[in-house]
Amino acid sequence: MTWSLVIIIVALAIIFIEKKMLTNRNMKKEQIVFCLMLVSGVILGIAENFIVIPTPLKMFSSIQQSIMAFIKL
Amino acid sequence: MAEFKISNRQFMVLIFLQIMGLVLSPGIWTGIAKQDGWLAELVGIVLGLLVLWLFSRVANLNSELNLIGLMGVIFGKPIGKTVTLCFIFAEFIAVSINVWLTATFITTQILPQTPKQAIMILLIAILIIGVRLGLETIAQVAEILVPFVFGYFILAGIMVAPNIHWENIQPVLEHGITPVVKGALVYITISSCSLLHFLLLVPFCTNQQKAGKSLIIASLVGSSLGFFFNLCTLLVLGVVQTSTALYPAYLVITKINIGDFLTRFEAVGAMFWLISSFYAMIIYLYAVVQGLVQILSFKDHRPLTLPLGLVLFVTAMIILPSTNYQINYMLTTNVPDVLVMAVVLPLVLYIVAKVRGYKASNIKGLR
Repeated sequence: MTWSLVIIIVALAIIFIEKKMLTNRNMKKEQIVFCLMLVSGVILGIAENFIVIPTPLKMFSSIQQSIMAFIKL
Repeated sequence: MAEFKISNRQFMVLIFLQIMGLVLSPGIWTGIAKQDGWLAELVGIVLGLLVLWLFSRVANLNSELNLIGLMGVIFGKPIGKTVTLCFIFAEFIAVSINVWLTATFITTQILPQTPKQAIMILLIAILIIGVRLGLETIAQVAEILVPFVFGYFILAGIMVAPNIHWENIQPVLEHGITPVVKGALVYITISSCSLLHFLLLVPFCTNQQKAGKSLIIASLVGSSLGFFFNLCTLLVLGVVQTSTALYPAYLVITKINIGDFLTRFEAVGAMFWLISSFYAMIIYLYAVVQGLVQILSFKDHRPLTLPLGLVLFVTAMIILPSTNYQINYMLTTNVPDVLVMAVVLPLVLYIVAKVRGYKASNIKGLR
């Protein structure tokens, strides 16, 4: 729970630091990517406290196991 | 053309520091090759030269373009962008693993009461500041720090010499050549293959034609120093301690005792290992940012850095459940994973470039 709060504070601090970029009308693409990354970071960071998010490495492991099983066939 | 330049010496310094940050974990390949762990490392260095030669050939295809630019030109836009996304993902995973490893090292060896997340936040904050300042600043600071790192590891290797027991590496090749080759393969994935992202920095070098040569020389110097130190570790600690200790390179420095006067040398060692490790992480992160900037056609990389840092923090928290999982991952999945990204990808890129008759002067013809 503490880390969820830390993540929200950090996200607000990031918005404050980048407010110049966020109010620049010529940086629409940058703003969209910035917001998407920030929101996904906050959601993942808060969710991590409540549910077990599988590590991305498990995806690599399962791909490798599938290939090995296919080779053995 | 890049707006700023780094000298080839600075390029070499960055490679040297990354190698030193990654190869001081002899436990991984010593666990496979046992007392022949040193031999596995030696074979790994020699085989790693082939990988580096491939990198230098790819760099020489067009030194004005970096790896991502080359992929876009040679593979075409849709395939180039897809492969670039995979490359960025792999680099991001690598930086997350390194952040986790560094935070785990600090919390288990130096600051046991501090939460891992606090260490990660501090570490990522420094990484983000470094990336925002740019490659030029990163390279200049590396140039100042490298003599200390180089000097320290040579000095530490010499100072542990009184504790050396030559029987720790005997008998040689007791279990045959297979464990040595397996160990060498793991070593290559940790050292030479992890230098792929330096192909992103080639256009920033002052002498781009010699960047491939610089890559090989710097890697050879770093690997040789790593080999010297890891050999000392194996000779002092023996197979069991080297392969089971969490941080054998750190443990061996604790054995330094010169006349009961010069002791507790490990704190300095930890500092220099952290510096090397920091450079490995910052180049990984720089590659991620640079890749995203190119793929999204941004003018500036700075708007990406802070939100990326937040995502990195969350990923670093969940990336590895435990040290056992990490070692198992390094020995099994990491090997084919890294070999595909760092050997198959450049090889296919090079072959396609040659088949399509690609020349640096003929970029537009292939677009």
